[in-house]
Amino acid sequence: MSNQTIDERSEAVEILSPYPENTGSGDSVLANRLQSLDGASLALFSNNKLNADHFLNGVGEYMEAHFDTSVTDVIYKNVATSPASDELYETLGEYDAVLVAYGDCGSCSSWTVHDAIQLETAGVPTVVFCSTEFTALAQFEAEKQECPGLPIVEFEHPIADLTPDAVRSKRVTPDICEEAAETLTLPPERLRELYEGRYISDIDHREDVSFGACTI
Amino acid sequence: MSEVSSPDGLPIIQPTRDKVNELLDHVDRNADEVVGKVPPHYQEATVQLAAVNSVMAGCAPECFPVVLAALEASLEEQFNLYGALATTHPCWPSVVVNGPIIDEVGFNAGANAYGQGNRANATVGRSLTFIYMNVGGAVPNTGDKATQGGPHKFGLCVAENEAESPWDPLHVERGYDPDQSAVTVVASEAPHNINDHISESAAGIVTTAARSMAVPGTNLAYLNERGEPHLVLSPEHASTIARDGWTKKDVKQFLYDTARIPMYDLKGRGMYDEKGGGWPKRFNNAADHTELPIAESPEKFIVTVTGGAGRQSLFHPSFGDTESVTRTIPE
Repeated sequence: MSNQTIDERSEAVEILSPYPENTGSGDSVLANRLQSLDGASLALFSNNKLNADHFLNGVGEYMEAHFDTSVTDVIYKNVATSPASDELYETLGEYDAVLVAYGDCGSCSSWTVHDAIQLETAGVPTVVFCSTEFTALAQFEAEKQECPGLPIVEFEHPIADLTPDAVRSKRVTPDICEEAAETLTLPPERLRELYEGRYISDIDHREDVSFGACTI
Repeated sequence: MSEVSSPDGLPIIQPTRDKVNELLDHVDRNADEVVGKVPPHYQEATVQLAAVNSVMAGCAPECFPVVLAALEASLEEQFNLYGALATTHPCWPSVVVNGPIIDEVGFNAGANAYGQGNRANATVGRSLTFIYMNVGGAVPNTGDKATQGGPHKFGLCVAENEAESPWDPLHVERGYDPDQSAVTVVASEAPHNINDHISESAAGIVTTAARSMAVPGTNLAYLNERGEPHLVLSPEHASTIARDGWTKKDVKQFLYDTARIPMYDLKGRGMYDEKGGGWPKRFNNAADHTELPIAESPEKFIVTVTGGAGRQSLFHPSFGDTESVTRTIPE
């Protein structure tokens, strides 16, 4: 029988943290934005989710009607559950900015964020459209992958069971179009103020808990 | 805070430094070595972090090399762990163990291998789940958006019943030596039963399997340019099939030819979308009664043998946009 007290024995047992250390720099790869939308060419980039092209065309029509911009025909990636190809990133990089739609499930939102980060890293201002149920996932991923402040513009979930006409009339609202347009001209610092933590402020950041090597 | 909380809701072992060191002693790796970045948050998993989470999951030291190999396999690009962890689909990395390590550490490849009752089976998969959650951030409803999830997400690891299989085990089929130990990860759903108590022929049993696999509600019905349907045959079913002279290659070819869904049954369902969305473009002009396969080629079917007595086999539907990965387990 040890002569140690319970407290003494407990203090000798070191418990290790199961969480990674936060090694991020805190910087963001966000691209510099446009001086203005005047004369800007905007790429409409579909992740190939059903009706994403109708959604984008609705946004594109609003942009052309309210700003001095031109939009492309919808450019599609092969499949929503994987990243776009490098060739496609190069194609999209030829435009002044990219509008990506949309995240409305787990894997498609994740790879949409990934695509957006590749474009931002290449210096292309990008906006991600995401349904309300998946903005937290998308924002966690963007912030953990060194792109805090990535403009994620939220629309009402669900969208998958709407007709193309309903997608345009009920989900493509003037508010989200104006918000998307604004994110293309605000400086990155302002985007970080607006979007960092926006959808995840009420969620517990487990791995950020100060833990280290604790004792019991 | 003085104790680590449980990621999965079940009690855990507190990861004391002594217990973690016991696991680290079983691998010839530096504790600080980075195994890889774990999605969806892409945070670095060191060997030590993997060991800490494995201790919590109840993993025995001798099983830790299996956890590390499975983790590394799942981090390979073609596995698409980012999508598999974050998706609304109920897939999760399932682990198949092959080679001498099965007997060395006591994995269950026989009766109830997919169920409860064996520490190695129960804790290797659980260790991976803890790493995906605690390191990768695949936490329910934040980094893991599964609509319902499934019981396999507590961890799913089985061994192949090599002793009772009439064919080469999975790792040998993939080019490894029978004396090497290996682990294969597959991003798949929990398995579904295939009951056939009366077929006396290979064609009979594999037809029952094919009819159970080709259904419009799985991702494989649509998202199948990379996906691998995984058939787990019981030793008895495998024996009946082999008795007719069928090789594993024959089983795969038969599945490719017969595990099919008519176009009319896919149209308007699942992820049918002729403009894309994962729907294979090669099917676009198929006539309504054309029977479409659930995989790109016969080679895409995974066939393993696991289980004890009984005429029950299993089918794991795949996430679809993923490819399985096999890695050796260092001795």
